Parts: sequence; C-alpha cells; structure tokens
Amino acid sequence: MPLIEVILGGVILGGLYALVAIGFNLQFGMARIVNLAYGEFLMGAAFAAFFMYTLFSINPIVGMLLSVPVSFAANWLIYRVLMLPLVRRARTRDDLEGQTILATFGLLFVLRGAATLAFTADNRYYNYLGVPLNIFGFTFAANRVLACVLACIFGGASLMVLNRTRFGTALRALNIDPIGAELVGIDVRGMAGLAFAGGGALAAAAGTLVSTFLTFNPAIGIEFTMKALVVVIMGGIGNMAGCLTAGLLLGIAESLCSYYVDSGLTLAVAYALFLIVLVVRPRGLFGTP
Amino acid sequence: MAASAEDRRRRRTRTAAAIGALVALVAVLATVPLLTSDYQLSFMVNVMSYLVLTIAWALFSGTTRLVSLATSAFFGIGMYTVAMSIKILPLYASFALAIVVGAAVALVVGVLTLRLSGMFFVIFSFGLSEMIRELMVWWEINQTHTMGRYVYVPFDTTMIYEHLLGLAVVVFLVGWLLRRSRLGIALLVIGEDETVARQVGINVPFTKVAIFIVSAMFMTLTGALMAPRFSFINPNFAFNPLVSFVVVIMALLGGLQKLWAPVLGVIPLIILSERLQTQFPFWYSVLLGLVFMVIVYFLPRGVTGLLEDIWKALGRPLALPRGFTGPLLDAWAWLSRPIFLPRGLAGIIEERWLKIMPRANEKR
Amino acid sequence: MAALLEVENLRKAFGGLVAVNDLSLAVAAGEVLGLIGPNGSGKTTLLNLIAGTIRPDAGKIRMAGEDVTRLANHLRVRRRINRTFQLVRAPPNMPAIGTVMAAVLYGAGERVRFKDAGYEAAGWLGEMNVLTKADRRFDQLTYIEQKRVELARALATRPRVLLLDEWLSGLSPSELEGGMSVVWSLAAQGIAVILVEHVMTAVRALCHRVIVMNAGAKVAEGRPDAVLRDPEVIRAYLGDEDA
Repeated sequence: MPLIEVILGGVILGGLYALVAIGFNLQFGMARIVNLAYGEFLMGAAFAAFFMYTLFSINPIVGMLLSVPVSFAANWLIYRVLMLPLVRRARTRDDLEGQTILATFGLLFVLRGAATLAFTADNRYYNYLGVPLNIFGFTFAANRVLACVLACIFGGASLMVLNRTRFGTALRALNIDPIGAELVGIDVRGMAGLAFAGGGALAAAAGTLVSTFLTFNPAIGIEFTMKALVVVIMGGIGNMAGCLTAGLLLGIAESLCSYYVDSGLTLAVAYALFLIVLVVRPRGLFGTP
Repeated sequence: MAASAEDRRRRRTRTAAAIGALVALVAVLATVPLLTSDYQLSFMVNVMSYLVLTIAWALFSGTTRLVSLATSAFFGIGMYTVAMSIKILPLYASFALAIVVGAAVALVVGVLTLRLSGMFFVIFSFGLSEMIRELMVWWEINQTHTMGRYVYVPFDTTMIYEHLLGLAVVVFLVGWLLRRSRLGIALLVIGEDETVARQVGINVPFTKVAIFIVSAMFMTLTGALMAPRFSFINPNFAFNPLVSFVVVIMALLGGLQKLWAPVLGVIPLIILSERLQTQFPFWYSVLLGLVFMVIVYFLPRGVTGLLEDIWKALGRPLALPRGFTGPLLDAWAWLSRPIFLPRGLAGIIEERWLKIMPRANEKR
Repeated sequence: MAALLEVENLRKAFGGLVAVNDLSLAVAAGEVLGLIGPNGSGKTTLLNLIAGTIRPDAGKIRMAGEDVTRLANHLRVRRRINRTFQLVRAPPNMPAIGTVMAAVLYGAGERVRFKDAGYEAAGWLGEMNVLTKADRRFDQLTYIEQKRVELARALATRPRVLLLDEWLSGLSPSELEGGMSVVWSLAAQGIAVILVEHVMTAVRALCHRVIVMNAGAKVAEGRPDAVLRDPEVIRAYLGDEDA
C-alpha cells in the first residue's frame, strides 16, 4: 500500500503549503503587494525556533508565542515604512504590483544576506518529536503530523476570521474592490497594513512548523515564496479556499514525484503543475472562464 | 507636411555624424585587449556581457513593461548548453545550438504565460532559473552521472571580449531599428494599453512572444560566449539568480527611455559590485540589496529628480526650525510622488544637453 | 439593402446576469443604426461582443458573409470592424499620431511602408480636424480632441463597420453639431455605423433605424420617430408608474 501512504504524506505536506499560501494570499490578495521577501520571514522563524530549542530548550510550539507576534509587528512596520510610499505613488494596480516586486526583490537579498551573516549558510536541523506515529495502520513522523494539524488550525482560524467577522468582511472587500471599500468607509490602508502583517504572522507560524521536520538554511526562503506564488495563482488571488485545494494538490504532486522520480525536483513539480493549470484553466482552478 | 530640404539635409548629417562616432567608438573598444592588463580586460568583459544583457532586458521589459526576472535562466541556458555540447560539437556550432535552445525555451514560456495576465509571466520568470537549475542537477546526477563540466577550448579572454563587443553592437542596432519600425510602435502601444493595441489590429500575444524570444536569444548567446571563460561549470554556477537581479538594477539606474542609457547603469554598478565583493565579501548580498532598494525608492525619476530637489531646497529661504518631524515628513511626501518610467542617469544628461543645445529641443 | 454585418441570437451572461439575451440585428453599408436603452441594458456588452473584446456564450456574428464569432479582436479589426470606447482610450504617454500610425501599420490590411505611415496617419488626423495636435501627448488633449483622435485611430484601419460607444455624449452643443456631421459623413462614405447613444437629438437626426434594448433583450426596432413614441420604450426608460 505505498501509494496511499505517499498520498497521505502529500496531504500532510500540502496542509503546510496551504498555510504558507494563505499567508502570502493575505499580502497579495488583500494588501495588493507581491512580497518576494515573504519566504525570508518563514526562514527567520525557522531559525528563531532552532535557537530557542537548542539554546534554551524552548518547545517550538511555545516559541511561536514569541516569533509570530514579532513577525506580525515587523511586517506591519514594513508595510507602513516601505510599502506605503509605493502604494501612495502608484497610479494603477499593475503599477503597484510591479513596484512592490522590485522593492521586495531588494528586501529579499538584504534579509537573506543578513541571515547568512548572522547564522552562516550551514544546514540546520534539530530533533523535535521525531518519533513514528501510527495512524490507521500507516506510519508517519509525529512532527509532520503535528505540523499539518497546526497548519490546519491556523489556516482554519484565518478563514474563520475572513469569512465570519466584520474585520474579515472588510478585508475581503479590499480584495474585490479597493475603491468601493474606501467609499463604504473602510480604512483601506490601515486594513491592508493589518492584512500584510497577518500574512507575515502566518509565514512565521509556517516557518516554525517547517523547522520541526525539515533541514533548513538561510536560502530556503525563496523556494517557499515561489511555491506560495504558484499555489496562490492556481487557487485564485484572494481566494483562500482555492489556496487550500491548490496547496493540497501541490503537496500530493510533490510527494508522488519524490517517491517515483526524485526528491530533488520539488520546484520543477510546482512549476509543471502551474503550467498544466495555466493550459487547462487559464483563470485558475476556480476562476470563471 | 513634407519636411523641408534643409531639414532633411540636417537630419542626414546628424545621422552620419552619429554613425561615424559610433564606428570610431567601436574601433577604439576593439583595440582594448591590446592595450590593457588582464585585470582590466576581464573588467571590460564583465561590462560588455552585462551591457548586452541589460539592453536585451530593456528590449522586452522596457517596452512591454513586464518585469522579467528570467535573465539568469537564459544566461544559464547559454552557458550550460555550451558546457554540455563542447565535447561533441565545434565551438561555433555549440554557440548556435545554445541560441536555438534559448529561443525554444523562450517560445514555450512565452506562449504559455504571455497570453495571460502579466502577473503570471512575472511569477513564472521568477522561478524559471531555479527550476531549470533543479532539473539540470537532477539530470546530471541521475542520468549522466557528472556533476559539472570542464570547458577547455582555444577561446581566450580576448576572443570573448571581441565577440561580446560584436554582440553589443548587434543588440544596439536591433534596439535602434526597433524604435524606427512597425514592431517598435506596436510594442509601445502594447506597453501603454493592450486593449487599444488589439483595437488597432496588433496581434498582442504574438508580438510579445516575438520580442521575448529576440531578447532571450541575446541573453543566451551572452551566456554561451561567457562559458569558455570558466574552466569548470556546474548548474549551480550557471544558473545564478543574482544575474537577473543585477540586470534589473542596472537598467533602472541607467534609465529606460534612451537606448544607450544602460551603459550608465552597467559601469557604475560593476565597479561598485567589484568593490563590495573585494572589500565586504560577506556583506555583498545585503549591500547589493540595499543599493537596489535605494534605486527603486529614491530614483523613480532618475538622478535628475534628486538633483533638482537639492537645487530647489538650496534656493529656499530659511524657515523656522521644524524639529525632528519636518524632514521626516518631507522625505515621506517625496517618496510618495508618482512614478514615471525611470529616466536614470540618461535623464540628467539629456536635461543638461538640452540646456546647452537648445536647438536639439526643436527636433520634433 | 444587403446586410453587411449580421448578428444572430447572440447571448452573453456574466455569472447569473444575462447581459445580452438572444439578440439579433443586421446593419447594411452606409446605414446608421442607433442602439438605445437604459443604463445596464447591455448595449456596451453587445458592442464588446461584436468588436471581439469578449466572446459570446452562444450565437453567431457574420461580417460580409464570413463567420467571425470566434475570431480574436485584432483579426476582426482586419476584417474591417472597429470601435471607439465609451471612456476614451488611447496610450496616454504617446503622441496622438503614434496610435494612429500603429493603426495604419497594423489595421489597414495592406503593407504600408513605415515612412509613409506617418503621412497617412497625419491625413486621418487632418480629416478629423486635429492635425495641429498630432505631436501632443494624448492626455494633454481636450475631451473632444481625444474623441476625434480616437475616431481617427479607428478610421485609419479602414473600417466597414464602425461601432461608436457614446461618441457624441458629453459634448457642448456646438461640438455636438460638428460631431454629428462627422458621423453623417462616415455613413455617406458607405460605412455601416452602429451608434450607442443617450443624446436623443443625435439619435433622431442621424439614425436610419433604432434598436431599443432593455435587460439584454431587444424590445423595439424601427424608424427613430416611431420607436421613440412606442409605449413599451417609454416604459423601459421611465418605469411603469411614470408612463
């Protein structure tokens, strides 16, 4: 029964991708900022978890109480200080997207370079809950299962906030029609800042989870950013349910590929999937043609 | 509105003078290897290769306004195709093969992504180089069992330099012709408003893909020509995302409105980059990122805007001290001004030129 | 008169909203067909469908006997269908003549030499009385000048069917008179004009025939004076209680 096990492994990975993509989608879909430095916060949180665990033996899950708010605050500041001038001077949405791509591209190199300086380029790994866990007769590493469960909880909580609260409704209005949102009295820039910060917080949560079961170094950020971009485009910009589906799809595809072909081809799988979706459904998985 | 005879004659003299100056410049540049040291020559090789890459980038991104981050992918394709085929093919044949491979990849990527919203293209171009690198690593490890290739060919730095110089002349001519052609006008209209472009009868996806392929072919050939410079090449070396990044900075710094503007971005950045690499090797990525952000934030209108503002600020009467917040508010307001196509250093020169030569102002 | 452009049972829905519902029309060379109806009745959608900006869900569009329903926008331009936009559109940073040159080079069908395209474009601008503004950037022109440049852009592709989307709206009375004579002269040259318009004086004076749309469907068709007296048309415009 290896196939089912491979697919379940993919689902577990996919849950994590979905979380990464939901955070990215908050920044891209709601705040309209293509943040190429998104993965760097994920990487930062992974290192934070690593050092807290190895130096002070703080449980990574508890450590999130620190890293998530810090990342939230840092992203909020980035929005206010670095993104807002671009938002103000951009004439159209395309203009804004282009400008933020350039600015965050620079930020990506700054953050990655700083991380390499501070933590060295070595691969890091720590053992947390690396015990086998038996579920319905299949064996999984406990840390992976925990990561998936927590990813589902965080992702689900974000979806609840977006769909069930006044705040979430305002955020969704931002995605659909920023000008209309402003006209009905929503503080567009304030809300966009919070969405951006919220995205950063989810990146930190995802980073902590990644660190529990993957080897990481300062260069992993960009790969997660690329995957998040692919998932968001497949699922639909601003569409969180789409993100979840596309994330699971990516996780399963990647898991299948690493079992049958090679585990080094994860990005190629993501882009191949992206291309297939582009050809078959040019407006995304859930877009109306 | 027939142009007067005198007008035409003046224009012809000006064109002849420009061509003459250009030929002289190329002739001088061609003798560089005879006069300089090895270090200076390798600097010039760097300048030439980035010049071709940046102009080729501007051919596509400057007109369609889609930020392409795929430069390193094509550069790498060129370099690695040569590395793989050099043992089987003669040198020039492997250059030709590289161009074919690069064009084919550009065709596939362009057809699949350029039909759709610009965002898809940008995202794809962002990951293309990483993806190809990953595929090549996998291929080399599992199929050919060689990690990296040796390139030993009788093609020394002087030859590389002369070929790159020739390529630079060609890419410059292509850009020049493009501005005076049907295709060039179509690209301008597409860059400004695609709906209108369709409505004047332009085949928008076809045009975009065509210019993308042309631009990619130049990038690929640059990579191919650079391959013999390095005796050992592996995928991680060939597909270096920093190349895409540096090319975008150079183009933005130089400006996009003039064809020759990239020269002004390439030279200072190569000097700066070499300085940074030798003096602060560990800080290189951070500092380069900061330089990039400074250009994006502070030079949306090129260096001209900066100088104008300083000039204005100097001429302003003294005001009462405004405390800490005053300058901060100014900086904020200044950062938030609308963006235009970056004019870069070329903008300043043009401005000064118009001041000195008011005649040139009347040409249109 | 033989129809030049025929539209058969055209239908387009956006989600649940049926914007154009089973609509047919035909227009002959030299005819001015008015398309009127309240806001949101699907007039602009219909124009978008005919011009090829969007694709219909069902139905057929035939141009001079050829089925163009599936043709892309730029190919329809080369089949001699062109349009203007409700909110005037042109590349804002280009000189006015640039767009017209592009239209001459790409839309006119036969190969025009690059050198000649400028002269030809200037000719079209001259025909629209805006030649003196040829080197201005589009966003520096006045509204009426922009409209004229846009029409020059459309005409430079030598259209046989021209779709004008509220081209006469927002003009002052004297400008309106000039604009109407432009439309009139187009029809006199044998161009089939479809005119979406709210300015009723223009509709009455120019149109040979009028189609009234409401909620995506055709509710009346005929000579302007007759149609505009039709009680159903009045109801569509003013609502039941006011009729």
